[in-house]
Amino acid sequence: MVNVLKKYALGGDCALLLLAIASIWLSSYYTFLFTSVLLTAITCLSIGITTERAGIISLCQVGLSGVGAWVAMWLGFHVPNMPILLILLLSGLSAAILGLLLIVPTLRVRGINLAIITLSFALAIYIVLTRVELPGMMEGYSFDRPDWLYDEKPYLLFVIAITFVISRGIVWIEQQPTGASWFAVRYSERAAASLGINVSISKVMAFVSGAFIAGISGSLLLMQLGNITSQNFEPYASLIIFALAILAKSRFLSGALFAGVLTWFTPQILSLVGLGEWKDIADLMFACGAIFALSQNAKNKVPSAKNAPSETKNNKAEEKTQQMNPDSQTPSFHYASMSLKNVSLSYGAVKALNNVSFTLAPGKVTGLIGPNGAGKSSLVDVISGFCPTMSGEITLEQDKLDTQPAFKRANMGLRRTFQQGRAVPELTIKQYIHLASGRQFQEHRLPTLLNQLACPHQNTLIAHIDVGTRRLVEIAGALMSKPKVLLLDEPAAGMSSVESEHLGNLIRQIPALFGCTVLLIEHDMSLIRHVCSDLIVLEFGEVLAAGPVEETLNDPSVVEAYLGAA
Amino acid sequence: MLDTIASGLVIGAAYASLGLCITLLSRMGGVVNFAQTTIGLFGSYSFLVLSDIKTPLWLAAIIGIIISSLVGAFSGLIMARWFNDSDIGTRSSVAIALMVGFLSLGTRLFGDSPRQAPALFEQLGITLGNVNLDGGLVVSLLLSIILAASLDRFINKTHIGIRLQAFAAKPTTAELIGIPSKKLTILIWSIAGGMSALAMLIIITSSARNANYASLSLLIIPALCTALIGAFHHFYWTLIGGLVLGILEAFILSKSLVAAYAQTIYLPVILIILLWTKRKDKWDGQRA
Repeated sequence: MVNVLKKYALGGDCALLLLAIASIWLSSYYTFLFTSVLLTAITCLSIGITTERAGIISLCQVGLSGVGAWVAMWLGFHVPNMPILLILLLSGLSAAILGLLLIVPTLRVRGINLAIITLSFALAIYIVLTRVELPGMMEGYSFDRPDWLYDEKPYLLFVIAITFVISRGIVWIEQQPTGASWFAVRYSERAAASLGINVSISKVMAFVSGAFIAGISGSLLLMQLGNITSQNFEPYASLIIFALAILAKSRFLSGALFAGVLTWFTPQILSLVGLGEWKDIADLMFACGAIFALSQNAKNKVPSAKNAPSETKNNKAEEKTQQMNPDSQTPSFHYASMSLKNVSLSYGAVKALNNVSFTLAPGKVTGLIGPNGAGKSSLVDVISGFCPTMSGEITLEQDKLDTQPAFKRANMGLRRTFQQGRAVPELTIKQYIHLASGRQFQEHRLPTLLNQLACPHQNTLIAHIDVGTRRLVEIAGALMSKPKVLLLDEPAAGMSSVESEHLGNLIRQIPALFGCTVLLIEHDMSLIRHVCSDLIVLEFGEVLAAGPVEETLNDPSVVEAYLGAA
Repeated sequence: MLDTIASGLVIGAAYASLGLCITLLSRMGGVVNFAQTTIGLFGSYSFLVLSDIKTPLWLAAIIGIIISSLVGAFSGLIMARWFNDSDIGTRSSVAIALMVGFLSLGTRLFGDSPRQAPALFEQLGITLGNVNLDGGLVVSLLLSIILAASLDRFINKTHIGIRLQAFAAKPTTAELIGIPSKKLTILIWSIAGGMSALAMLIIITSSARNANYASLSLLIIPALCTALIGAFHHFYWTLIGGLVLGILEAFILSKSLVAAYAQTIYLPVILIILLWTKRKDKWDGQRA
C-alpha cells in the first residue's frame, strides 16, 4: 500500500482526501487553520516548479501572490458578480504576466544573480503595494465570497479541490516533455538544447507557471481573509517560504503540505508545550531545517563517474550486444552526410579551430582524435551550435546548419552526447528518452531499444543507475529521435576496457541498425580501431590528416605529432 | 543639491561598506552572503543594548563588533563543516536560510520596535562652504574608502592574499597542499561579520536612527546591488557603486512625487547591470 502511494506520488492526495473527510468534524478555528496550511502549500508548489524543477532560485513568490490578491480585490470591487473561478484565473494570469515581464529580459541571468533580481523585485512589489491604495479600501470594501462558499467549511473544501487540481496539473505537466524539459534545463542548458529543447521557452514556461500558481494562492488568501494589507506580502515572507520549500521538498504535494503544516502548526505546538512566548522562533527552526536539508543534498550529490557497473551487468551487456545482428534486422536507409567547410573559431587571440573542412562518410562511423587542446571539444560545440562567433559553413545534407540555433539543429537531425553524461537524474529512463526524442518517440520501440543497448528497465530512475549506463541511456535517447548524424563525445571515458569493448560493439552497429552517420570523438585508440572506418586527426585546431583509419594512423605526420607526442 | 549629494553619500558609503563585506566573502568564500546585514545587526543591536545600560560607547562598539565576528565565525563554521565542496548556488541558498534564521533570532532577542540610537558621530561634523557635512558621513565615507583600499591591497597585492584566492577557488585542493581551508573560511566569515557590524553601527547611529530590525535587514538588497556593480570581485567598483546608488536614492527621495518609491530603484539598477554584464552568457557554465 505504502509502495503504491510512493510509486504514484499519491501521499499528498491521500492527505487531501483525509482532510476533506475530517473537515466534517473540524472546529471553525481548525478549519481556518487548515485552509491557511493549503494556501502556504500552494505557494510552496509554485517554488517547486521554479526552483526545484527548473533550478531558478525565485525569492519573489509571496510578492507575486500579492499581485494576485490585489487583482482579485480589484475584480471583486469593480466587477462584483464575476464568477470566483474566473477571478482566480485572472489573478493567476496577472501574476503570470508580471512574471513574464521579469523573466524574458533576464533569460541570460542565472543562479544567484537571478535570485538577487527576484528579491529586489519582491521589494519593489511590496513597496508599490504599500503605497498604492488597495481597491475599495476607502469605501471599506471587503471581498465577499459567494453564498455557496460563505462558510469556512465549504471554502476549505474548495481550496482542497484547487490544491488537488494544481498538484495533479503539475504532475501531468511533469510527465510531458514540457515538464521534463525543466529538469533538463536545470541540469545542463547545452545538453537540453542538444535534445531539441528551446531552453528559453522552457525557462519562461517554468517561471510563468510558478507565478501563475503564486497569483492564485494570493487571490485565495484574499478570499479567505476578505481583506489584505501589504504586510501579508513583504519580501521576508518570500525568503521564509523559500527556506520552507527547500526544507520540505515542495516539488511534491506531500512536501508542500508538510511546509504548510510546519508554518501554521509549529507556533501551535510551541504554545501547547508551554513555549507560547517563543513561538516567533519558528522561522529559526525552519532555517535550521533548510540548512540540514541542503547539507543532505550536498552529501547525496550525483554518484561518482568511477562507479563500476557490476559483473552481472557486463555479462548482460555482452549477451545483448551479441544479439544485435544487423544482417537480420537491417531495413534499407538513406544515409545522410554532414560537411564542414572552412570552419574557424577564436577565443580572443587564440585560434581554437582554423579552416577545418571535412565531409562525414554517409552510413559510417568516423573517428575524431587529437591531443588535449587540439580543438575536439570546440569542434563538437561549433557543430552543435554553442559557438555563435564561429565562421564557415556546416551543412547536413542540403540544410545549412551554421545559422540555426542549437535546438533547431537537434530537431533537424543532428544529435550529440556529452563527455560528462547529461542524462537527467530526476527522470526515469522512459521520461528521458521521450524528452530526447520528442515527436519521434514510439513507445513500442522502447523495450527493444533498451534491450539492444543493455539499459535497465524503462521505469528506472536515472539517478539510480551508474554513470556508464547513463551514457547508454543518452545514446538511446538520441537514437530514438532517429537522427541523421550522431556525435558521440568520448562515450567510453572512465569505462573499463571490457565495458569499452562492449560499447564499441554497440557503436559499430548503430549505422546499420538506426540509419545514422556517426562521428565518434575518442582518446581510446583500440576503440577507434575497433569501431571506425574513417578517421580525422586534429592538431592545433587544424585537420592534420583524414581518411581510412589504418592509413591515417600510419601517416608520418600523425605518428610524429600525435602518437609520438602521446 | 549639495545637501542631497551629502545625504546620498552617507547611505551610499554604508551600502558600499556592506557591499565590500559581500565582495570579500564572494571572492574568498565562494558565496553570495544574503545574511550579511543580519549578521551585522547582531553587533549593532548589542551596541544599542549596551549603550542603554550606560556602557561607554567605545566599549559597546567593540563588544558589538566582536559579537558579529562570532556570529560570522559560526556561519563560517556551518559553511566549512557541511558545504566546503558545494557550488555557489547551494552555499548562497544556505546564506538565505541563515538570513531567515538570524532575523528570527535577532527579532526575538532585540524586539522589532524601532530603537532610538545615540548620535555617535555628531561632534565629528564639518562645514565646507555652505554645506554641513554630517559626522556620520565623514566616518562612513572614511570607513568605506579605507575598507576598499585595504581589501584591494591585501587580496591583490600580498602573497597571503593571492594564496587565499587560490584556496577560495578549490578549498579541498588547498587542504591537500597544506592550507587549512576550514579555519580560513571561518576566519574570513568572522572578519566580514565584524566589518558589517561596524557598517550597520554607522548606519543606525547616523542615517537610520529610528529604523526597526526587520527593515534594517532589508539593506541587504542595496548591499547586493552594490556588490553586483563591482561584479562581486572589484573592491573599488563596489565602493563607487555604493556611493552612486546612495546618491541616486537621495535624489529620488528629494522629489516628493516619487520619494515613496525610492527603494524600487534597486531593481532597475540591478537589471541594467546584469543585463549588460551577462549579455554574452547565452549558455550556462556546463560545457562538456
